[in-house]
Amino acid sequence: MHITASGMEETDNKIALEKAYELYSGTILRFIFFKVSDYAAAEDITAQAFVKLWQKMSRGEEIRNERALLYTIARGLVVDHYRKSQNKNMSLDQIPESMLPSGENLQEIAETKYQSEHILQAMSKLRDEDRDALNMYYIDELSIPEISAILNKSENATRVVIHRALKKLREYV
Amino acid sequence: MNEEEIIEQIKKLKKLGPKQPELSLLKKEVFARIEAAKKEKPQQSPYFIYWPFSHLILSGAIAALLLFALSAAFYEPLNTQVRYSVNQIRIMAAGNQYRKAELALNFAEGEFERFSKNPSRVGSGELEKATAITNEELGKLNLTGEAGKYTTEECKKLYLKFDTMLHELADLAKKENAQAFLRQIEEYEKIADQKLNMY
Repeated sequence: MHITASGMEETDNKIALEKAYELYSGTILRFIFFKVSDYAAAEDITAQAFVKLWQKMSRGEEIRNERALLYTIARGLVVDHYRKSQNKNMSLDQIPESMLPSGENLQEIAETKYQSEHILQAMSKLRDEDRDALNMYYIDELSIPEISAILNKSENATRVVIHRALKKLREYV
Repeated sequence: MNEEEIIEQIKKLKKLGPKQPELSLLKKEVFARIEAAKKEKPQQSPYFIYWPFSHLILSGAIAALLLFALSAAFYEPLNTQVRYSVNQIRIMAAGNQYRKAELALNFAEGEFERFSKNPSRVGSGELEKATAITNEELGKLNLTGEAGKYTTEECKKLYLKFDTMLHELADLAKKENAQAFLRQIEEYEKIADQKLNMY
């Protein structure tokens, strides 16, 4: 989606933000939760990310790719969160019930929970950049150009990051 | 587990996610924060709330310090104290976090240069203090920048500069066998690298 926020009226910004929220809030919240392993903190950071997006829109900054920008903002906010909490090695304790899929029976839910926690624990041992690359590519289905913009790398380098991250993850699973 | 199976496991995480009612509640929170941000007045430094009075005090304090610095110019320990105090005041009075971080870094670089000429004093605590202050002030930067104050790119440049200085400092500390300082530098380097990785 290409939005030129320059000269936008406040109402236009609100509409654009609402649209971005509808499209990306779920995946951004999940992305952040996988990084901080704290649902309340993930909600707070998600809210901050959308406020920052709105601030950029209000300033009339050109936003070429809202989704990529949101991920970039989110990653920066998570760094701030780590700094404030003085804890850079948070571990995943439990996936909150609210994140688990509805419409499955209890056994399926328990299985999903177990498998998810297992893979997330393994992923938490990866470097931030590697874990983010895997999250964005395989879970949130961002394109390589989008991920390379977020990681500030070339597309080839991004592919290498993903490939190496997978290889590393195999050692931890 | 082979690569394909791992990818499958990762993809299964797509099943997890917040429910719509929670997202709706969060949306209200987002818009409430936006409304609050709109009403928020531009933040003023507490040092300048009562401008004329504070201004006089600050000017007086700086003048006194300058006089003190001049008289102490030839007495090294006092000279050092004065330089650090003046630097602290300058950092405190700086208008935004980027400026504070920049002042701290410039000061640390100056100290590094001084100590490079007299390396036997590395480990005496002064250079450590200047580096710690720089690390602290840089740590308070908002990496994505702040509207009208500083940009992401400026933050990145500052971190790169700090990172370069740390590498050189580490060499100096190694040469002088200042182990405690070296450990401290390595810690700062780790933090700086993590921040730079975020760009």
